[in-house]
Order: sequence, then C-alpha cells, then structure tokens
Amino acid sequence: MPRLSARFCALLRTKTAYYRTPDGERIFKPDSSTACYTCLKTQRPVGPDGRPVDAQSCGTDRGCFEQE
Amino acid sequence: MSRRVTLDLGFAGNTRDVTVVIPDDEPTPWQWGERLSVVGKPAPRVDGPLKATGAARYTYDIELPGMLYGAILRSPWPHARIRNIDLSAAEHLDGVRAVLALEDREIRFAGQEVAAVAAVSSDLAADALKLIKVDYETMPFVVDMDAAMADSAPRVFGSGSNVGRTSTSSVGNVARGLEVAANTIEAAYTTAVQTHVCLETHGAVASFNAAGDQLTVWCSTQGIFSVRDDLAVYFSLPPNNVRVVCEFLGGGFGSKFGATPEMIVAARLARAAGVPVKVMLPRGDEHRSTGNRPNSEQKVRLGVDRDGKLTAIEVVARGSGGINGGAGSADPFKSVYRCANIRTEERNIYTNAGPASPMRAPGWPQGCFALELAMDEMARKAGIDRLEFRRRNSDNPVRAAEYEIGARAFGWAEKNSAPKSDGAVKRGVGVASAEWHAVGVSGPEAQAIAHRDGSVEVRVGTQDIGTGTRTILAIVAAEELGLPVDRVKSEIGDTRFLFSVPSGGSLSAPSNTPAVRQAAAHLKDKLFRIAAPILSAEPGDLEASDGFIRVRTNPSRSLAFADVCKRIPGDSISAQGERVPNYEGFRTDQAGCQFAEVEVDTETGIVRVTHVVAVHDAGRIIDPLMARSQVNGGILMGIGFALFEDRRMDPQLGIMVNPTMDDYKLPGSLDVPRIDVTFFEVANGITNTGVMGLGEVAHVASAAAVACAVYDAIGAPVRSLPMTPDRVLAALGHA
Repeated sequence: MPRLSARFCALLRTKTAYYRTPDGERIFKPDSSTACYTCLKTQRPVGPDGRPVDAQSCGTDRGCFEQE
Repeated sequence: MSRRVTLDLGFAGNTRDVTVVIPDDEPTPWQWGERLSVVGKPAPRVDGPLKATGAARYTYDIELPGMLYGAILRSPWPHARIRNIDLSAAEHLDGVRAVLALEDREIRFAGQEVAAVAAVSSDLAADALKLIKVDYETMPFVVDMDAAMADSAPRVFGSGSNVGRTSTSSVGNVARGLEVAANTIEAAYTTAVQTHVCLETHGAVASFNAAGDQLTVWCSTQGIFSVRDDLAVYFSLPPNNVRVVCEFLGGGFGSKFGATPEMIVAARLARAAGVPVKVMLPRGDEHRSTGNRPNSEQKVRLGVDRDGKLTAIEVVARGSGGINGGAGSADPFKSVYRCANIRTEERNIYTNAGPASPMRAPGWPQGCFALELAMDEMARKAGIDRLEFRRRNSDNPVRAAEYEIGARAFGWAEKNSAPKSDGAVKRGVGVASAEWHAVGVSGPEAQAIAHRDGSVEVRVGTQDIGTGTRTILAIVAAEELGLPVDRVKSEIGDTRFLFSVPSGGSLSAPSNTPAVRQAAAHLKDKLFRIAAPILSAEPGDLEASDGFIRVRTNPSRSLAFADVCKRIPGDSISAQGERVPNYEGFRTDQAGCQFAEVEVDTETGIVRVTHVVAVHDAGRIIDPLMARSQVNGGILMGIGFALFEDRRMDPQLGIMVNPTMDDYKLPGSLDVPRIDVTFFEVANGITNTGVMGLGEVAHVASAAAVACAVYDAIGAPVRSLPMTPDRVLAALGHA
C-alpha cells in the first residue's frame, strides 16, 4: 500500500511535516490556511519550475516532483 | 504487552475517570493530586549561570581551526531576472577562499540570496561581496496587498494570479443568523507584518571531513534532526553522516525549523573551500529574509440575540505572506466561541516581499485581535458586560473557570466600573480568550544514565528554544529517580543523542517529558535489580525517594542512591525510554484568558500597558518558574504586536525601510507591565507526565486584550495594529 505522504514531493517542507504520525507518515495539512511551505531544493516557497509550492500543488503533475 | 490504568482527569468540580491502555513498561501516569517531590516546585534554570556569565555557547560563539567567514549577497531589487553574475573579481581578492553563485535566476523579493563568499575574515567577505557584478533585468513588482489584487498588478509568479486559493469553512447559515439577530455589527480590522526578531540571528557553522562524506553543522535551530535530515537530502548523504549541534538557541519563534538558506550556503562554501565556514546573518537580513507573521485585513460580522448569545459569526480575511502563503487568520473564529452559524473565508495575496514563515501560533494573534475587539464592540452595542458576554458564548468549562479566577485576580468588577479619569490620561481594561492545542506527539526517545559516582544524565536529541527544556527534563528525571534536581544533568542539542522532534507548536514539553520519564523509570528498574539482593527484597518491592532506594513496606531498609551506583559493574548503566502515542485524555485543547489594563494619553496617543493577568491551563506544570517566564514572553510579544511592530515596505522601491532594531519598534524594559500569572490545574492525562505546551497559548490573546482595553479607555475601537499614537488619535477623532 503506498504511503500517504508519498503523494507529496519529497522536497516539500512545512512545519507540520517535520513531525510524523505514529505510523511514520510526514504530517501535511493541505487545507490549512496558515501553513507556510518551502522547497528544499530552492530554499524558497517557489519550486524549480517557478511556481509556488504547497501541499495542494506539489504533486506528480509537476515536472520537478520527486518521489519520497 | 499492555495494562489498563484508570486516571482521574479534569479539574476541581469537573472530573471523570478514564481507563486507558498503556504499554507494560510505561510508568503509571502521575495522577491528579499526586504528591510529587520536585515536579511542580519552582526551580531556576539549570543553565542560568552559563547564560548569565556568557559561558553558554551559541552558534555565533563557535570557532573552529582554519574557519572562514561567509557572507551572502542579496538582491536590492524586489523583482528581477539575473542575466549574468561575474564572480571573478571576488574570486581574485586575497583572502577569499570560495565564491558561489546561487542558482535562482529570478528574484522575487529584495533580500533574496544571489551569491555567497567565504573569506578569512568577515570584513574581507563583505569586501568581496562588493566585487561581485550582477547584471539584473529589473521587472515590475508589487509589495502592497491591495495593489497586488488589481488585475493589472505585476505578477509575483509568472502568469499566475497574485490571489491565492480561497479557504472557506461554514456551519449553519450565517445569513439567517444575522437576520434573526437583535443586534449586529460589521467592521474591518487590520494587523501589520511582524518579524520574528530572534535575538540570535539565523546562522550556521559547517564543516566537511576531508573525504567530503561527513558533514557537521553547528546552527541556530529549533530542530536539529530536521536540519540533519534536510542537509542529508540536499547533499545526498546518509542521515547518519550528518551531525547537527545546537547547544544554545537564541530564539526561533517558528522561523528555524529545517535547513534554512544560510545553513546550506555555509555547507556549500565549506565544501568548496575545504575548511569550516561560519555564516551568521546580519540583523537587516534577519528582518528581510528569514520570515515573518503575515499581515491581515479581516472583515467581521457578528449577530447576537436578545439574550446576548451569538447568532452569527463571519470573517472574510486576506493577508499577505509576501512570496509565501500561510496568511490565514480565521481559526479563532471557528472555535473560541459557540455559535450555530459560522462562516470563514481566507485568501493569501502574493506580493514581492520577504516570505512568511511560521510564527508563534500562526494566524491566531491576528484572528483573536479581530474577533475579540468585535466581541467588545458587540457587547457595548448590546449593553452587556464584556466578560459576561464571553461567559455566555463560551461552552468550554475550563475557560469558564479561568474567567472567574482571572476576574478575581485582576479586580475586573471594580476596574471595569471605575471612571476612566477626568484628565488626559484615560484608563481602560480588557479581556480576551485564548486557545491552543498542545498535547505533543510520539517519536522522541531518551536515554538515562547513572554513573558510578552517583550522578545521572539524561540525553535527548531535542533543543532548548529558550523555554528551559534542560531544566524541565532534569526535573522529570529527578522526580522519577527520587533525586534532587541538581543531581541530574540534561544533555541536549546534538543529533548523536536519540531522536526528538522540533521545538515548535508548543510540542517540546509534552513530547519529550514522557520519554525522559520512561527512560528514568527503566533506569530505576535496573538500579532496583542491583539494590534488591543487598536489601533482601524483590526489585518490585523497592521505591526511590529523597536520594535513597528503600523497601516500600520497611523504609528503614534503604541504600543511598549513590551507594547503589557504586555497585554498577562498569562505569555506568543506562536505559532508554520512548514517547508512546497519546492516550485518551480530558481535553486536547487548552483554554486560557488574559486581562489587560492600559493608560492612554489622549493628547499624545501613547498607550501604556500597566497590568496583565494571565490564566492558563497547560496540564501538569513541571516548573512554575519556567512556565511563568514563558507566559511573560508571550505577553511581551503580544504587546509588541499590539503597539509597536510593523514591517514597513517602500511601495516605490519595494524594500523594507525599517530593518534595524532601532527603526523596527519593539517593547523595551520600560514597556513591561506588571504581569500576574495563574496556572489553572487541569489533569489532562494523554501521557505519563500529563504535560501540555505553553508557548503558543500564552501569546494568542495578549494583543487582543490590550486592544480591548484601549477601546474601553477611549470609547472608540482602534481597529488596526499596531495601535500607534497616530491611529489612537485618529480613533479619538471618531469617538
């Protein structure tokens, strides 16, 4: 069974994702209005493709997506 | 294997038994009312002398043989493309050992990293930066939130809209709630961008081994393991080949979670130069580039019925996190007060300004300010006492009890009915409600070690954001082992210790203390096995207290703890503990309330906060002295947000105009009011220590309480933070 956090880019960073569930999943809250995101590769809230990064948009449809 | 334990949870007059299933090797949770020897007693910081004497080593203090000093060139332009970077002159400067062009070719805010150098001195590094020639193609930009929403506004991200997606929530029918209301109010509230202003700026010292496959980083971080893992990914190293150290940390407030740009720059420079490199940000860069609390504009509508019960709550909010998102502020509207009809709408607006990052209770201080001032405006319109209005609309029994405690401590009844004074200086009072969720997470592990000399160490891979983590971990271990606190040494801040989670979100104490307690309990079991044959008893018949290990049924048969340690066959014995997942508890939220008294000079517009009473629940308080200190800090940060702090951007140049400790106004020592803190004891369960966090909840209501007090003093709401003298005078003009 695919891991839940695998649907998010391995380089996507946000505060909650530095914590894990008891099952070891990174915690993402895509519906949060207060979550700030960064891309580990660019070090900024913009991806290598020049688009903003967040849990709703950093999926497999972006060319810069990296699997966890 | 597991066992069942029944816990008495709740607070005086409101308790219930909860039976939980816990692992066999988990210490029995401390019960409500259980007499503990050192937990709950005020103890000074164990590392206080180190801090007071300057002996504590912060990242800034790290000096390594052959170390270079790094500096970062930042864009002066808020929006530009980099056509070319010429590093050659910098590279040829004597004393420069490494120069890097950073990858980004598009600049989106003034202050974004462009290039970096490492040199034999920081002065030389600064000189080298001036030799780097950057050919920028400047682009249209926008730093004002309103301007950014215009169709014709320059786009922050290519062709994408500056208006982020809308987050909405809805229960009931707000239109209907407003329709049936006996009274309604509608008003707009704004808050300014607040920067974190960590006293220790962001920074790191990085060092690779000669083979380039082992990286050690000393850094100012809230998460040593987060940084380790980020650096491991970035540099394609196994995590165990990266060591991160943070002995002392001069504040983070949410801005120092993972590997931040200057850490990666330091490591890249170190790799390029082949020697260690230190990069510490100057204050201006700290203000511009390392994060901030987004601004907000919140349009609020409330409705109440004839009984003073809320019939409708609505907020339509927007805010800008600069080039980042996360500007929401509606969470308090959803949960602090009970109402059948609630609707929230939040939008993030992108601008060419420095990126937001998490900051102490993200979204809550902004939202609480708007909600609570609107509550006061409604109470005044409906003719209800403001505290009574809150009582009627809160269904949280903890907060209800806290209102009463706070009102008595503050003297609400007398002060609220006292004249505002006939002179120019008017006195006012306000109250605001807090909320947070801080039960902690599983994941941390701890090691407890007893040495032959009778001393004990606890080691955890956590870090102290400044809240006294070393102290509370020592207290918990001392309690379990029956020792005085000074017999236990806490070692933290190194990824060579067992894993722990970042210090943020009020999660450190509730996540780490249960692991430490379990480790200490396991260590105690080992010591009991050494002591039992000497005491002619079974290990299960022993207890540890007052520095002795005793037979529980015959305390005269005892051994000093230190004497037991002398029988350790080697140099030491150790045990591990883990933070098990949360068990059922009383509540997973925290309430809390704060009362504020202010004086407002109606001729100058200057506001002075004179008294704050804070009432908070945080489960079991390990060290009241540390806890009070944390509440003091939350209140002072709230006063800064309420009265002073405002990141100002020049709309023509797109730059921050006040990136200094002089121009960016902060509360000073003369702005500190009398602060009285009461902890309301709630047995919350959830872990073996029953501890909850305190960092966030101590802060969320502070600015709101001050704003409500100012409204009370002058009779007109100041709906924009900070409440600077010009805004106060403008409000008086409308009073």
